[in-house]
Amino acid sequence: MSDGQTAPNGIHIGKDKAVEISATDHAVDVASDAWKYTLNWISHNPILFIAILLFLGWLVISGRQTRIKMREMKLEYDATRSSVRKHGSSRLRSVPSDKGDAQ
Amino acid sequence: MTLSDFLPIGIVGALVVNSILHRRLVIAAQPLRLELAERGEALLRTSNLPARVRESIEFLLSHTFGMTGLLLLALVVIPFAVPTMVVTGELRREGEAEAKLSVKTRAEYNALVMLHGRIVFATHPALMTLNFLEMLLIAGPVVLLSGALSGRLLPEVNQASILQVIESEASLLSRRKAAA
Repeated sequence: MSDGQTAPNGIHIGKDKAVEISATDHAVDVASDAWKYTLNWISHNPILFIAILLFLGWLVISGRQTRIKMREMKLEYDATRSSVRKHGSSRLRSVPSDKGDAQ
Repeated sequence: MTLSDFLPIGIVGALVVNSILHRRLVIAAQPLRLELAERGEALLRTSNLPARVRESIEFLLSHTFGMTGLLLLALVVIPFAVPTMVVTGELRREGEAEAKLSVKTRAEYNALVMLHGRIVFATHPALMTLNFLEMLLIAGPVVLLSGALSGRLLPEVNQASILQVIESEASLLSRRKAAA
């Protein structure tokens, strides 16, 4: 559309006014395209989509289990430290040490 | 169905494999952590340890879990921190404190630093590799240049001591922010 005409939506475009697409409009367009692509991909690959959902679910559960395990290991570590501090050696476990080899 | 259709599942699959490997490595590093706890606490019982070395051992002992934030911070800060530490003499003081240790204590301290490095490498292989490369490319030339200019080579410098300085600076900064 050339300058000085009225667009179909009723907005008059002046001769010296440039039509600018704002950054927000551009971001909305990109998001809209991505969403359309995703929906299109899901409709063509429903089994793969379900597989991805299962994998993501497994990732969440595994992440939670890892955090729980880390907490347990941290407790064990802190207990070992305080045991050595109090008694001079750990009474919780026997630690394989390479001190003998080094000497 | 084209090959590109499998790209999303490939990405998620890679995440899953990474998660499995990471979990196994975190668990496999636990005996090393317990060994670090034993040897570190035993070393702390040694009398007349210089205060800097004592602080350094405390740092190693209290940073066996949750190093991600510090390693990320170090990635950003090392290019500025290492030259600053060389100019202010922080690295020299760090090394001189270690030089005061007896041969046996120094060997045990170095073994502790190595052990800590192994633990961090096992739990954060990618971040640790990037940090190591950064140290090699930045700290190495800076330390050598400083030695060439001053005519004195810096004493032994390790990654743990640099991380410790970065961490203490960061916590000082956050305390100041909290107080302001």
